[in-house]
Amino acid sequence: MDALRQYFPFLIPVAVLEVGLMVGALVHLLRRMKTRNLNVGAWAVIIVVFEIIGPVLYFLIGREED
Amino acid sequence: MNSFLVFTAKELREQLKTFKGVVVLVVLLIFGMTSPLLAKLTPEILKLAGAGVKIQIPTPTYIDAYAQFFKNIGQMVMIVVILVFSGGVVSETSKGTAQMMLTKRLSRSSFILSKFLSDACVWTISYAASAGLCICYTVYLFPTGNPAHLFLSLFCMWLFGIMTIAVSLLTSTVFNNYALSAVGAFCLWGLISLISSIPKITDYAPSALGGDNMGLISGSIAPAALRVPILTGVLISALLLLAACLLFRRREL
Amino acid sequence: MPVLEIKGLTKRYGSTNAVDGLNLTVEKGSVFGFLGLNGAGKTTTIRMVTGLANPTGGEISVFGDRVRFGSAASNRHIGFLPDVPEFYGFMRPKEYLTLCGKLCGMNSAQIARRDEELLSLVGLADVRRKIGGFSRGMRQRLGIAQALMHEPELLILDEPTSALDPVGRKEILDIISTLKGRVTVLFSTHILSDVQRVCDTIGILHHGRLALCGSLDEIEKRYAGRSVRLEMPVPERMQELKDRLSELPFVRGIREEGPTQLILSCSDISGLDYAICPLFARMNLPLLHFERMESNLEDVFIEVIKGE
Repeated sequence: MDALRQYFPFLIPVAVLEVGLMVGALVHLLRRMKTRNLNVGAWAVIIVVFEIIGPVLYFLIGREED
Repeated sequence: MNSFLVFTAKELREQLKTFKGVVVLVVLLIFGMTSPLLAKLTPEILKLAGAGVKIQIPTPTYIDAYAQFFKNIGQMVMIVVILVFSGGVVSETSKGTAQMMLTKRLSRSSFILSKFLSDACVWTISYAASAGLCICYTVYLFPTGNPAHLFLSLFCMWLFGIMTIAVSLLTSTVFNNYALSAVGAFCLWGLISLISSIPKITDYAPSALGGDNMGLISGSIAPAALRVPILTGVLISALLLLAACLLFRRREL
Repeated sequence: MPVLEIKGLTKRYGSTNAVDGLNLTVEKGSVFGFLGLNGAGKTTTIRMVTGLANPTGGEISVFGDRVRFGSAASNRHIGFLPDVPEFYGFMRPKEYLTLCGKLCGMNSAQIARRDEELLSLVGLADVRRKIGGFSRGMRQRLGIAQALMHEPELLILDEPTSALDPVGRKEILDIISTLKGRVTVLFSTHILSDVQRVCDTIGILHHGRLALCGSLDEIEKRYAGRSVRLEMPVPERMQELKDRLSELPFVRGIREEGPTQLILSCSDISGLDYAICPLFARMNLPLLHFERMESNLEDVFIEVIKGE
């Protein structure tokens, strides 16, 4: 575990990007409450559960135009 | 020429505003950092998981870091690239925004080439940032060792990405819905790999651009061996673009 | 030189001809109402004029420039509003107009001037919202603005009012009225009152062919006094009367208006004048009202289409 801890500084930017992508997608979704292909709830679950792929899919096929 | 640049500027803004470009950038940045990290941490994680059991794991080196990077870019990132860019033309033609632009003084070829240029810009910037991060992380995590032909290897993967974009753009002009375009792009991309694996063709085929990267870095493949694949990669990308332009000109909108 | 000249234009989809040897000329300065039922070939014709669709045969020229499919060259004369204009939702109206202006090769001073003029013309000057949040009416108005951006000599509007509410329709028609005399307008629609409000020339498209074409005044004159309204107060015998009337050789159409009124359209109106009283007498029916009507466009339209 100690061995892993020393790499935390390297993991932080990765975590920031992943969480940022997820939060960005969620905020985008919740501010509009409109989606394509699936309903809002389903997309929210997909965004949170599937790291990276979830938000990416949301932005590609779930996002409703403003 | 002017309308081409104007439309390219619009494309780049759209990539930013509709998060398509942002998605590509973020995904690439993540893989740029996680690849060397994963190479470094895998033995530690295995040790943790199999506590008490003695497993023999060779100490990872920079080779593993780059191997992870090229594997991720060549598979995961290419899938994202196809998913993102195979919607470029079809989203506009099926919705009707393209018709509004093409009844101005924007030629159909400019429309396609603008899309390609902006896609290529997004890819180049994201890939450069990702590769830069990967190199920094690798140099820090694995201070020893000196990869051979690193930049040629990176360039080959970049060109492979450009070819993937050209594939996505072609299917995007041919089909009239996004799902077909994306599936079509995967098929065409697979077809190019399949043809590349035919023994007599392998040495000249562009798939080497996304497959021989580690050989270059470890020194087992000479740079000269990539000369023809680079040439065919450029040629095939150009032909795909030409086909996209010609088909788009003959397409009723 | 005519603004728009279409010769023998044909468009075939499978075995049907959507447009079938269409000949059409639009003169400079006119507001041309391009009429037809849904599916008559109006949109297909317009798509061929703007180079979006490939004609099976025939020729189109705009200000003498031959229109070539897939090329945008002849579009420099044209401002085009499709039936459902689609915009980039992430842009604001001014941004979109600026993009259009740049694509048309205008310089930034011209663009700034036109942006302001047009946004106030279509009543979007104070709108700061993104286009994605626009209503149908706002989109249509922005559509007109983008079509006018480069001061085109020919404005083509495809069903600009069809999907709008009465207020939205009036706004669009008012905008078209203000353009009268400055720009040649080709305006497709199936709403006849719109045509009567703004057009001076009409062409009726039916089954891909021009069934009638000419100035609105002339056509109304030509068809005037060919319809008759009559009133007969016995509803039970209305059907019998209709049957007998339709046997007359010069009666071309019968339409009921309420239980006791009929509108007849005739090819020979004086024949009816002589025949009507003897007919009523033979049937022993009272005739309460007999009136020659000013022809309206609706009757003309229906007659032309039925006459095919």
